[in-house]
Amino acid sequence: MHEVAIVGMGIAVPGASSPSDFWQLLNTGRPQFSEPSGNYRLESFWSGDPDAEDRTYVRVSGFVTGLRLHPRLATEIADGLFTRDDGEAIRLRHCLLQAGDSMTTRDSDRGCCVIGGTGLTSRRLDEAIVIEAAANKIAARLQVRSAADEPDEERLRYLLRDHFGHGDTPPTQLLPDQVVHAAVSGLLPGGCAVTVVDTACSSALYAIDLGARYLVAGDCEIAYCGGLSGVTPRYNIAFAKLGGLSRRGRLSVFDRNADGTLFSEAAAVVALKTLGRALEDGDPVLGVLAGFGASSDGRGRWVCAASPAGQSLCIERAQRAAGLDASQVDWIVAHGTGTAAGDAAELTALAETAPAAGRLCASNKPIVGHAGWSAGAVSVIHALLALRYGCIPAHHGFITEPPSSPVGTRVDVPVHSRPWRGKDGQPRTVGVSSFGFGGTNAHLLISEHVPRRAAAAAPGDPVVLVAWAAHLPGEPSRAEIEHMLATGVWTCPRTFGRYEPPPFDEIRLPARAARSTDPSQLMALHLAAMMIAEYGELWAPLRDTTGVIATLTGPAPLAVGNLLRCYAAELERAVTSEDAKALAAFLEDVRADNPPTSRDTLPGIMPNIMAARLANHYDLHGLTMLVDSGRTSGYTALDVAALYLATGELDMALVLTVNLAVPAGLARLAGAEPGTIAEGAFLLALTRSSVARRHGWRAHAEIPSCTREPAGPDRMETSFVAADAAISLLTTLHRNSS
Amino acid sequence: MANPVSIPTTVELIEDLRRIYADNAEIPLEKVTMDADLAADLGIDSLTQGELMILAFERYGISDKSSRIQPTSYPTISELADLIQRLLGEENGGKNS
Repeated sequence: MHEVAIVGMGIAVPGASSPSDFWQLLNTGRPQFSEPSGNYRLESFWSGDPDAEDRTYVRVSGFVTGLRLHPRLATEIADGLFTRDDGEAIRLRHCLLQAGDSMTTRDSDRGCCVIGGTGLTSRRLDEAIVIEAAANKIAARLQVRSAADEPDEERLRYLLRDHFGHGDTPPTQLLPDQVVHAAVSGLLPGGCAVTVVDTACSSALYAIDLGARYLVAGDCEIAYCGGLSGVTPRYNIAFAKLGGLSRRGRLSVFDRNADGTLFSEAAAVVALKTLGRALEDGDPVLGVLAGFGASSDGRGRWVCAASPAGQSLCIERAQRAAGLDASQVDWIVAHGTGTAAGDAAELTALAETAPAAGRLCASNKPIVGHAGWSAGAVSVIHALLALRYGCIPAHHGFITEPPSSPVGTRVDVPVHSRPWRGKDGQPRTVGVSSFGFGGTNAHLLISEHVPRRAAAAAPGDPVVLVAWAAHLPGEPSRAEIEHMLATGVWTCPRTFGRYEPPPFDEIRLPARAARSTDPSQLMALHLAAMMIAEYGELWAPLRDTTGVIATLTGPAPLAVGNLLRCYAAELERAVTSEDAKALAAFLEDVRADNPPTSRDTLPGIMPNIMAARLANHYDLHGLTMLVDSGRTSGYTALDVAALYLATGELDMALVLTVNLAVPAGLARLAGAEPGTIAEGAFLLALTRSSVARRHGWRAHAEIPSCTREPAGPDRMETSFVAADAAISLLTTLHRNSS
Repeated sequence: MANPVSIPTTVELIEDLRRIYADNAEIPLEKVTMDADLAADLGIDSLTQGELMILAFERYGISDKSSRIQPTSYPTISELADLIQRLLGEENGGKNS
């Protein structure tokens, strides 16, 4: 098995435009929170009353302002290659260029770019959705005027674009996979395969691990991995309804005063190569990936509550993968978000997994804020800088531990910076923790030089399909679905229409929460129940090593409805005079159709929770992840599942692909011909051939290795978009068997 | 002297609590069994658990205790019923002395 080396890094966080800026910031410890000023109008989204409908109580966040651009990017912008519509892509490209500066590339190099990200934290995307949906729906309420006039929808779209300062960039370019494509374009001669990973706030660590697996599998020679995250008014509103943001506007971690987190704009990237290639090329080896541990919390708590047991499990798994015991890990860059519940859970896990001498840990969030989907990569760079400079910077803003906390006994927080030297000639090793909403935990160990233990993958043990379930509009029977698969003629309706929640036993959600939960999540739970009805609970003997890899196409309808609620004040500002009555009617409908933002909103609209719900319901402890590579997402999901199965991290992978129609008025965001798109949800259970034999499961089909691209031109008249991968796999199965 | 708060029987208390939780969280009553785990089996988040606990305490006139009690430490209706009986006992004991 190849070791993987980190050969470059790049970062853009509030107050730092480069790794050396970031190091300075970590050492001076000045918090970087401010009001949004030029970014958005706080007054439209803020209220001092925490119960105010669709408002947040927090005024400050972390903003990347005055970024000192990488010189090549500065030239590209001057040449008009990127406009100010491309803010997110610019931030990410800046980091990619920095990460690439220190390494050698060859003309034959194939690249991959795996980035933790989500549309949910993109302010430009939120605004584009509001522009498109509002223009469409308000126009529909206006009287048709003379044919000579500009159509109302187009007029309103221009008006709103102007209001939000948007250029004429097509909104599809703001979707996460497109942002990453734009950011990475032209960086490697052979191009770069793009995967967006979403496990919420642990995304960037999962992205680094997945990129390393692509390298080791020989899929590419260079892997750019990291994360991209932003600050949006809506996310701050929804997180406030969970009580998760600091009312003081200050972020304290592991401290008695900790009262919530604060989110930040950020991007962070590391460049990876196999150690052999890095040494051959003479690249600087900033660190070696020593071991990765992933886990899901499983059953026991509410789907989004942090679980010490789940966190301990990923820390132990990482140490086992690295062949290290707890005492050989010198310190941990903790997730440390500053929420009372999150800190308490993390401290419990840190204490449980601490060596006899105690565990030293620190968080960078009091200074740069919670970098969300990029937080793991920010912490990895924190760790790499500490390795480089031989110093562990002080944990900022720590005054005194909370009552009955393990700080001071099992856990130690560095109040002052301290030198970091190896002991007894052992390589220095640091752990990095990231935990995502939904119980998606990750821990990555980075050392100076530790040989990776050979993985268990036995050659000749292919990945096979052992079970499938399909949930389609009109609820066709299994026999009918098999017939449709065999003939390729889809006779069921194309849409579910208004989706009724499945029975309580399938979803175990209070009705109020179910109303705020996107159909995709409810469908995931329904699919699992369907699969159990057909095959029994196959994963029951494998709960510890069963994971979920999911894809979802398009913005969730509930998320769009909630967004429009949150942007009501902005719309009222922008749309006035003769359109005001139509706007008022539109907003009235939006409010009638969508519940106010509540504690149920964020879990209900976060796409990665779709996978996490299965882990929570069925007590699964393998990794749960959402992947996005646009239309080919389903193939990416199959490929990622195969990678984790092949190396034995997972014994069963549930591949969940859901395609829902784009909400009305957002056709321009879909990037596909609306007439051909069909709604449907599919669940595939994959395992290794040897596991299937051991449990006496019939292997329906072998999954070809590397299925990232569709085999041929898309010939289907009916497209389930990202779920087409499942269709194509099942089609092969049923054509062969019939 | 005011009448001491009457302590309901365990059966009454459990039936009462089941109804409070079912109605307020919007869960079918037959699912809210005395041993169902409020988070894992019924999907009730910890903030809502806290609110429902306060509601139950208010029903029995023991609202002042809620701030010191971690709702997730009482993950089932039957454990909540035990807690409420204990708190009511303490309250009566206090008044009698």
